[in-house]
Amino acid sequence: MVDQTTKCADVPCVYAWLYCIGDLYCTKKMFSTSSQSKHWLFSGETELAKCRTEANATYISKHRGTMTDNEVTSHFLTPVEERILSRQYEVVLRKFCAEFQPPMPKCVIGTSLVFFKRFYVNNSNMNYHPKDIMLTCVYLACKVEEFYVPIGQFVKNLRGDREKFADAILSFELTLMGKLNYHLTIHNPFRPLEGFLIDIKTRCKEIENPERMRKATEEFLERSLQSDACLIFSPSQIALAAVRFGASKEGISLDRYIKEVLLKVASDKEAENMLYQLRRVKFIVKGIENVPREQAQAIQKKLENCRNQANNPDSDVYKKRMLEKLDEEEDIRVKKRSKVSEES
Amino acid sequence: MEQYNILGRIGEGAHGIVLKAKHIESGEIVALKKVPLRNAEEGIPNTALREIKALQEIEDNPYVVRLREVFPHGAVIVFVFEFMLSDLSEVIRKVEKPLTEAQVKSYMLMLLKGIAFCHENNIMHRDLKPANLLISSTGHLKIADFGLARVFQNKGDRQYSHQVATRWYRAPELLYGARKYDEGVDLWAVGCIFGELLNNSPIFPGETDIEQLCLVVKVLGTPSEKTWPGMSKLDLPDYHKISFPDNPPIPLEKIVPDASEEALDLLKQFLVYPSKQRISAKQALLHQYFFTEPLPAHHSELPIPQRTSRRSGLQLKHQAHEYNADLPIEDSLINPDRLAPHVIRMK
Repeated sequence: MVDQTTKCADVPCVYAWLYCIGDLYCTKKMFSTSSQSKHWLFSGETELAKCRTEANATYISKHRGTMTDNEVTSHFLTPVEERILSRQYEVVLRKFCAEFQPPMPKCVIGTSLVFFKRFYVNNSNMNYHPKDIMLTCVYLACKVEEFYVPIGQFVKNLRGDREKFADAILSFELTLMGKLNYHLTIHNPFRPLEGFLIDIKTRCKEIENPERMRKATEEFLERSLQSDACLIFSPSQIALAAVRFGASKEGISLDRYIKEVLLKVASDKEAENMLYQLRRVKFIVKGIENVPREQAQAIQKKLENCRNQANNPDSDVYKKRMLEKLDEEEDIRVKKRSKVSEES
Repeated sequence: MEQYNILGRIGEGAHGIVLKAKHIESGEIVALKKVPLRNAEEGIPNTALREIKALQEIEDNPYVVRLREVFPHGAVIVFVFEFMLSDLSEVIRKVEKPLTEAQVKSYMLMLLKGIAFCHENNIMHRDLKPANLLISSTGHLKIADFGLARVFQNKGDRQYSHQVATRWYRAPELLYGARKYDEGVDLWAVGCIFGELLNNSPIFPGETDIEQLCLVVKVLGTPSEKTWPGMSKLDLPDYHKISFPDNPPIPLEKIVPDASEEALDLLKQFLVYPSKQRISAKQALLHQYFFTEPLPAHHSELPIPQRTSRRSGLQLKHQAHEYNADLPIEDSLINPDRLAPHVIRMK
């Protein structure tokens, strides 16, 4: 699944070094052996689009029954519509996180977004409503990033029937984890970004006051969160592309730093490839368009008719299934108990 | 779950029960650890999440128990691990004669290789103890139970809970309530386990947290700026809650009287107050101890005690159809009359 050119462009020694700024002599590997690098980096937007289209088609073929092609198009969401919808919910997710009380660290936001994006690579919005998955992603990310918020406090950040929200989040938690293949460790670009800034300050003295690059750099990184960059590039590539962008906004060229300092030990081919990847990051991030809001709302309405009611906590089908499940568990317990009493 | 045949119960851990099972398709024997979600108002417990996180990032290593898969089953999460026959605490308890120096070396070698690997992958285990070091049927040692494991960052500002690690193996900074600590807590535990292997009994068997600290202080001497540089600057919340009269250290020679010179030298490098001064697992592997006679034993020369868990009815019932050399052969044969209705006769 992983394109080799993407992978080898991430010069591992440089990366490892940057990850461990606190300890300069540390040579620990972090990213190259991670589940993120092994299972969740795609070759590019084409591959991602292919996976998403497949998820869309699988859902439709399962639920279309005897519908004609024309009926299918008007009833179900198209891959393009799905994309608009999940992007709209990414916006909602970021807003929810930004207003969250207590204020959450950046890595929780980053991890939530990565969970959400990964989920909708292989799943249709029609099968699982992004509203439910979005909240579950944030809740799980809080736990994974050790930012502990009890569920009661978590749902205080929501308006409406909080108990219902809590039930929904907890009931989707396992599903989410399963769909993420239990790969829960996420590497975000925030730490490498700090690493690069410190590195520039220490090893690239000719740049005066590198801190002035920070504003545009962080803006770029923020923008990258709206894109698929985290599914295509390593966090350090995204961070470096951000710093490079921030520098150019201040009229600084980082080319010498990248070629002669950062990639000093890399071969020409590796260096060239790295620069190519950085250009790709920039292209993808800059190409991001705002989500057409009205269109998203219309799609959301359409979703109400074509979503999988079995995964809708408000539907009768769902409630019935949950009750059956409880009964089943009760049955098993009763059986177990009678078995135990038989044995003894 | 349908893919597994339950064979019996292995034990009950802090986080759920562990069953022995057979993977039907491959015939492989596995251990199923069931972590209950019932009554879990907060959803999936943090310990389960941490274990998944740690084990998913770790690549295959012969000295770390392998997580085959994870799946939900009703109200439990099931972790599927390779099956291990026993653990080091049983080995220490059960062996008839004390472990030989070569055997101790062999265990230490495997333990250190596993720990070096974890630390290299930025995972601190935080709960190393003989019961968490499993022994395979071939005598190999593998580190298990990552329920407390944390993926650490070398930034140094991260706060952790100090209520980790089983008391006897808990590092002094944890006993003093430190919230900032590092992989040194694992290295302290390695030292304690090493001492226990050499002595055949735990070296700091404290009954309470206070007694635990007393035992450590008695052996290492009252901590001072000299033995624990910078300790006053460390954030040790419980340091002033208890004070000890100035005691000189007891030489470790007295604690582990039968140990060789090299063993003592290595042990001393684990059991020091400053966490950063403890010898790293990687360095320890290069210690003279492992290169002097007697050399580490081959794994086939290591004891493999059988698990002695209570044989439950369930276990017996499922094992009845398995071939057993001690039973009369008739018992394991199938009655042809019972098979008859299922046989399709060819015309």
